[in-house]
Amino acid sequence: MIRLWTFLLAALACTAQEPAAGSVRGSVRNSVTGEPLRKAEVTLRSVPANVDTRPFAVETDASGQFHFPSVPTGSYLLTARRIGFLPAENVPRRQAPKAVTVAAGQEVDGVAIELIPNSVISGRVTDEDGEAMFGATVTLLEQKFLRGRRVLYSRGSAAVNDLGEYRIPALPAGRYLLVITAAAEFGPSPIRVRTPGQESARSYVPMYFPGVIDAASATVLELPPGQELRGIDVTLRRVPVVSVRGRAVDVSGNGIPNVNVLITSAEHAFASSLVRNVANAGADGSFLLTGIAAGPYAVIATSVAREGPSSGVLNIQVGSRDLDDLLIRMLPPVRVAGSLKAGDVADLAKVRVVLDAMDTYSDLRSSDPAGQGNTFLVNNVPPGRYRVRAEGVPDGFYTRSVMWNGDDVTDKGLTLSTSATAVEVTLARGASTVKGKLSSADGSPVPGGSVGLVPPDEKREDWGLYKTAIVGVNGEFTIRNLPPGEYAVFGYRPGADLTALQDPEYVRQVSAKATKLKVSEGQADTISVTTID
Amino acid sequence: MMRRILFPLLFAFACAAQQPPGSVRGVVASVTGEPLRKVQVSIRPEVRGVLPLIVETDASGAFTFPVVPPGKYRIAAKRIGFLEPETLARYRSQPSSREITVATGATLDGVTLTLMPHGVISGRVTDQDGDPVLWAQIEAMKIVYKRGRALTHGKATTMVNDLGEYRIVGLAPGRYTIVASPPHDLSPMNARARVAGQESAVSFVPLYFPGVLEPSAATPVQVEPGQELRGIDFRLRKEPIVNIRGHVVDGGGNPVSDALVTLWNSPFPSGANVTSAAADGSFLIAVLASRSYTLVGGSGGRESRSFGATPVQVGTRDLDNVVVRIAQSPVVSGALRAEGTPDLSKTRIAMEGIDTLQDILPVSEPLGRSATFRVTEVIPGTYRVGLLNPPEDYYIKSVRWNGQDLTDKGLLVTTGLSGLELTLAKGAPMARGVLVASDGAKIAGGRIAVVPPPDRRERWDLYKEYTADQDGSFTIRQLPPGDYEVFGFTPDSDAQVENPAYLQQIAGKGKPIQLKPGEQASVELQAIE
Repeated sequence: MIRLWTFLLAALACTAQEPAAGSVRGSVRNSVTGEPLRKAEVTLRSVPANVDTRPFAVETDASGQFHFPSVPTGSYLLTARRIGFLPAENVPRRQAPKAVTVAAGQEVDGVAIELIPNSVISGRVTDEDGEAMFGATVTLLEQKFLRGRRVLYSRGSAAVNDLGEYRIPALPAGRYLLVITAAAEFGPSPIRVRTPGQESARSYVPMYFPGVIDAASATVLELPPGQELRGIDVTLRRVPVVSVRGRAVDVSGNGIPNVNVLITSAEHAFASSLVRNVANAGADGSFLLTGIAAGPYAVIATSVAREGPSSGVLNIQVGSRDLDDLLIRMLPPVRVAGSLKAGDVADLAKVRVVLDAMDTYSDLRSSDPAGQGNTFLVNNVPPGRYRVRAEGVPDGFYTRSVMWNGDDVTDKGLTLSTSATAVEVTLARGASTVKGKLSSADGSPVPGGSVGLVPPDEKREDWGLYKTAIVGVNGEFTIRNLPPGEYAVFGYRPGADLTALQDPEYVRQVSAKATKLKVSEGQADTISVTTID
Repeated sequence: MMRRILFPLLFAFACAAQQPPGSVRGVVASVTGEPLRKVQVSIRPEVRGVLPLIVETDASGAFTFPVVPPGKYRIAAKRIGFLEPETLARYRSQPSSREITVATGATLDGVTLTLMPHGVISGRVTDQDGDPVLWAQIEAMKIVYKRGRALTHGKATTMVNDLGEYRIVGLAPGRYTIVASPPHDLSPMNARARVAGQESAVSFVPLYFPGVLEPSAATPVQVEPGQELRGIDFRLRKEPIVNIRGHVVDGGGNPVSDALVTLWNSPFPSGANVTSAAADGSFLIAVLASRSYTLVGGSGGRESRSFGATPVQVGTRDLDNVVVRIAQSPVVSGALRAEGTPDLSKTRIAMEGIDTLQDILPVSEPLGRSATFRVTEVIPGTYRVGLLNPPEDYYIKSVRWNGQDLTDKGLLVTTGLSGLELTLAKGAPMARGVLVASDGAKIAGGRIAVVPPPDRRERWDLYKEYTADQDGSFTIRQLPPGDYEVFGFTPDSDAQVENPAYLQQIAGKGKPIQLKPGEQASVELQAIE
């Protein structure tokens, strides 16, 4: 039998002529019901991973037990998987692989693995007359906050079948929004002929459960682990829609060719795969967006050309009439250059300067590492207002001030319409390291939990000050390089979404449960935090 | 000015300002007769670049285009869940689109369009214990026989849900072979290491309905318009598999990084039979145990393709260190002789593999005035040498190399060779005929298949298919003189004459025909229904 395993033992062969072996026993259970799980595949993978050693695998028996009878000595990671349960990679902290060490002749027993059962959402999608909306797409959205802005990420989708039914299986528990988009052939189009007597065009637009067109009024679905949420039915209906026409122009008012134009809700952003309303502008920069329901929007133009104007944004309010002759001004990108200062001792070669957009539609722009010259350059920056900070700073330092043209722009930000040079970023010693302990209300430690720091109201939009930390196995956490100031600290059990702390509404709701933290310059602190539930 | 660019359709309306527009009204119904609501009806002008107009049918299936500039249009109906009935012979007179002409100021009324409801196949996929196999993939395929072998062509796919259920929608009527493949995670490629104490690994493998490993043993199912075929269930099982590991190397033994390795003779659906080699030329592919396969390595762009084939015999253990050596494929060159002066401006020499199924057909450049040819990328193997676009009235009389006549037995290519002699003779035989139904009615668009007589059934180059024209007439050409058998089929027949088993079934239902040089035969053929 050992001969047959030769390929597994190749790595060990060099250390032992006749490898000693032990054994590993354990069980696999359903994390929600506690029931033993039969037919789970349990994999024993040697560490460090070696390409020549493929893992061992066994299946659990009818009572959920598994047994690896002959395991070469060494260190292993044990994982389990089963159809109907979440794969381990989707829930890293809750279902972390078990580490097992096997010594010669040792019989390791009682290794307990829990698997989290899949959740399911199902329902029907019909039209105004109750007929199946065959071909519609149901998308499950998870809401997160990204630098203060609500962003909806797709977490799964399903097609509505010819009977009007849909089913999204294999979901992790969570809080979701559901949005439904009709089949493309029912979509808005400028060539659709209005029915005589109809005042405005009507079209299917993406609709959120339980039947609303704006995400803000959608019902949040609470999906518990291992359960099926049935009857999540939506009736799609046509709503009045208008067309939006305009041109993308440069500073002198000339049309810009090769521009992509998209329209997105002004209230929340979608992960890009969900943005449907996109137009390609013509050679003179003209564009047409159709099927837009009433509401506030941002129209964003982006150039695909390598040179020239790069982007432009226009905020609009759509009502019951077509919008014509919009002009989106696109400005050329700018450069920001400057130097880093940090007294005399610090090595700044690895420090990068980051421009963090203060208006909503841009993102982070980063320089290369400063290198020996302590200078930085950020290219291709869309005009706008940016907060400037340094990242990768030496231990104990923080960004104390940003000066430009004799003006202190640390808090108010750098407003760019043309390139800026000689921006001075001053780092200072005095950042603190805060250590703490996270416990639940009954005083027990919460390993695998997390803590999040929220800056005071006046610095609410300084996203660099939102710090998070994962709690270690001993229930302790550490946050480094914290600039002086006051913070509110929130503690969570494993698996919480800490991006919610960027939502001011949420922070107001839970503020009473915060632990206050005042960080003085250079002073190490220790705090004790209780989970907010 | 700007609006003109945005709305080319306004151009059409601009014309309407000069001539009073007409209007178009009509009804859309299903082939079963009931009116269909919510159908998208479009009229598309003949003028290029002008966008169509779209309206939707109401609850009674009626539609109205109130303002249509005079002109010629194509009017078409479309609705999700419905297909074009005119693709079937029996519904040819009930099309989903028509040509219409709108006259100045006139109402074109009573335009009827028809749609055919789709077919559905549904069932369950479980493992041997009856537990659902979430994310198993179901494919409805057409099996096409080429040179005696079953080739699968995917038509529609879907995934199995957590209850083990699946539903394939949108199917056109026809015969389908259904295959259930295990989810990616549980596929042979991802089979975890062997279970302690077991000699070979096992894995869920693709199964064809009703639960067989070979596509040729599958039972196809017949889907009719608007029909749901229920209970097409699968019970996936684990079969012994082995991994083949190896390297793709070039002629000098150096690893080739961008190569694709394709497995031939595998019963798995095509996607499971291709793997790409890593940067160091290494590859891994999982196969059913205890079979023989051919691994074909291929690499390079159009200009410099390299190929190589390595046969492997697989037992119950993994095969390691398999070397697939690829090389610039041999070049075959030669000269062409012909009576008279045929027009060879479009004619190419084509080499059709006899013992290999390949994805490309090696061909020469068009011959033009040159009497010589070169065919590149000829993977070693045996070939029948033929012509693409042969000159009118010519056929291949003989293929000779090295003093041997290879017309019948084919040319064995191992390395590059030159001096191949092709002789064309004038007076290509031809046959004309009419395809009729059992009631004597001519069958427009029917299929005609010509096959060699039983003792030459392996001559795959002598199989040819033709389509009857509107009057049921057809012409058989581009075949060398000899004895043949002709079979006729209806336009939507799934008949596969290159399936030897099928040819057995229809034995005696064809008509013998003799093609003689310089002669034109005639044949009246009744379709097999």
